[in-house]
Amino acid sequence: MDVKISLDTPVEELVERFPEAVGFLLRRSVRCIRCGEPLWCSLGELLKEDGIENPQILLNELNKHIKKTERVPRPQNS
Amino acid sequence: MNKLLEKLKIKDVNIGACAGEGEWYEDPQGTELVSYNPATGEPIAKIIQATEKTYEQVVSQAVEAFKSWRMMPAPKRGLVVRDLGQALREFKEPLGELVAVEMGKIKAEGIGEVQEMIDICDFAVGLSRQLYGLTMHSERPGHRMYEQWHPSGAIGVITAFNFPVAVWAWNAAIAAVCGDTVVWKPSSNTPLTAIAVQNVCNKVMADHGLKGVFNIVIGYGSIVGEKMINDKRLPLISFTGSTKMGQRVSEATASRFGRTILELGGNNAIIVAEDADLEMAVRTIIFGAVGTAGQRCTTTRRIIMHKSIASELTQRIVQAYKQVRIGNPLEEGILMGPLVTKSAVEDMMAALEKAKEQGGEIIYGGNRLTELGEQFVEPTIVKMPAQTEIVHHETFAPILYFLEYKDIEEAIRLHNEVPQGLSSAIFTTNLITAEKFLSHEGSDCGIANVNIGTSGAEIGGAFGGEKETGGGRESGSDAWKGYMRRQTNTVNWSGELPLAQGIKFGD
Repeated sequence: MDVKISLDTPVEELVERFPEAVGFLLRRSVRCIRCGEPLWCSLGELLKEDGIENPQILLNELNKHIKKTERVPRPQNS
Repeated sequence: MNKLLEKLKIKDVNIGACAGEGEWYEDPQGTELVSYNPATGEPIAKIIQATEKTYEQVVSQAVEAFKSWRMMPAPKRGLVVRDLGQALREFKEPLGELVAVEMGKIKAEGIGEVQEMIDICDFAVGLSRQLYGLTMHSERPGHRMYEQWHPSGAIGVITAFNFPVAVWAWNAAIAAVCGDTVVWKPSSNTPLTAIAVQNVCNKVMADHGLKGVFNIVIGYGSIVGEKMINDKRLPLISFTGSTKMGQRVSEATASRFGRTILELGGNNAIIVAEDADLEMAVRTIIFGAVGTAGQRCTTTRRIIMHKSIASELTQRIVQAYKQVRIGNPLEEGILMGPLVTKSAVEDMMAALEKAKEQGGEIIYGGNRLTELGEQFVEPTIVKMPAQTEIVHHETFAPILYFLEYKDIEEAIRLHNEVPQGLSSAIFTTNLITAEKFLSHEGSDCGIANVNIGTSGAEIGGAFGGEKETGGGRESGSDAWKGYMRRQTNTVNWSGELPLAQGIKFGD
């Protein structure tokens, strides 16, 4: 499975397709969902707001993590 | 399932932009949103989401409809809302069931939510004859001064998944009698209940020859939501959701001098004093912490208990947690359903890890219940050595933190230490303690209760909170004023031209 999460990916899309990303990011103090609802911004904006110094490194780790969990993502709403 | 959807006129594929009967707007560019049953993980139906184009069509209709709706006398608008309440009575059972199916709360709570819609419609009917303004005695002779309340315009209402229909009704029924038209963006987690409500509205409004009063746009917040909060045609945005998103909504709306009603995060606590009726406290805590699987804004998230009763109270609550039946929210006897999404489960598990890292001890629960489905979890109790960083956050899940205190001053300090300020409660049989909690040195929340819990508010009171909860008020009392614009009027019938403050100008 070729996962393509980028810094431009909307958080709404990320949590819908790859829920496992939520826990992964929260363990790194990045909160994708609040009050059960995803934030209305891109992943890149969220990482910046939550003080991640090198977003690209975390993004790479996230993509690896998603790939490793080997779950079939829900189809992207299209 | 099909029969339920048929009753509510939900199709396999539904259009997510509507301004009344026969006014459904579809754009070929609109993306599909699938609504899933959180208990089974199965898809229920699809929605073609609103696009910028269909958003424009809906908002244009709402703005146009406002011109005539505002001129209808308020008591007549009340009669239209009365009919909406009647229609909701007819659909109470199926609509409540759909809430349970799509959102995951138990059916009794789903039906209760529709009852809340009916109640607020009834309240709004009465209110339609009570949109009172004050009169003031003018300091100038032969002058009359008073204030009146005018409709605001087409307003935006953005709601969350956890109360997918009631919060819309709190806003929409009141706004409608106030003369506003309403553009609703529901949560993308619960789009079908919104379509069902729109269908009910469409029929009622068509019977009165109206359209454009109740409108809907379903779509991503980053598309439709952003359009709404930046839209100068919407003078008011009522937003229910997280503190983080509330900040975004507030900044964007304020930058164009629009107004907001914000109902944001809560981190609600119950203080249990040494003299509390523990039997009553335990029953309340279970309802407040486990109900709606801990996904209410007013969910009880912290118990601040007196040291002298901590052991007994803990034992009783744990015992009660063991009795909570978890499962399909449509089944009789079930008290807790699934979390709304898989993401919510991940969020809960990560929060529990953090709580443990911060010295928390899980004394009940803490696990996924995968045998029931991917989105089921155990309601969880975590004993904390102190009110650490994770306790200051609102995790939208059934996690209940236990904290202990020595005296009431410490209890109130702990209580008020968190950044949120929605709902609060104390269990005590001591009048002095109760009054202290309700006093200005007591709870800093918008809602403060004695011997009842933090959740289960009635529609008659104003609902909302302070600090990071946003300061907005919805529903009852005089919350209606937030949906209108105040105008101060002075009429001079004296034949002279006296100035205020006795100023002489060119005399």
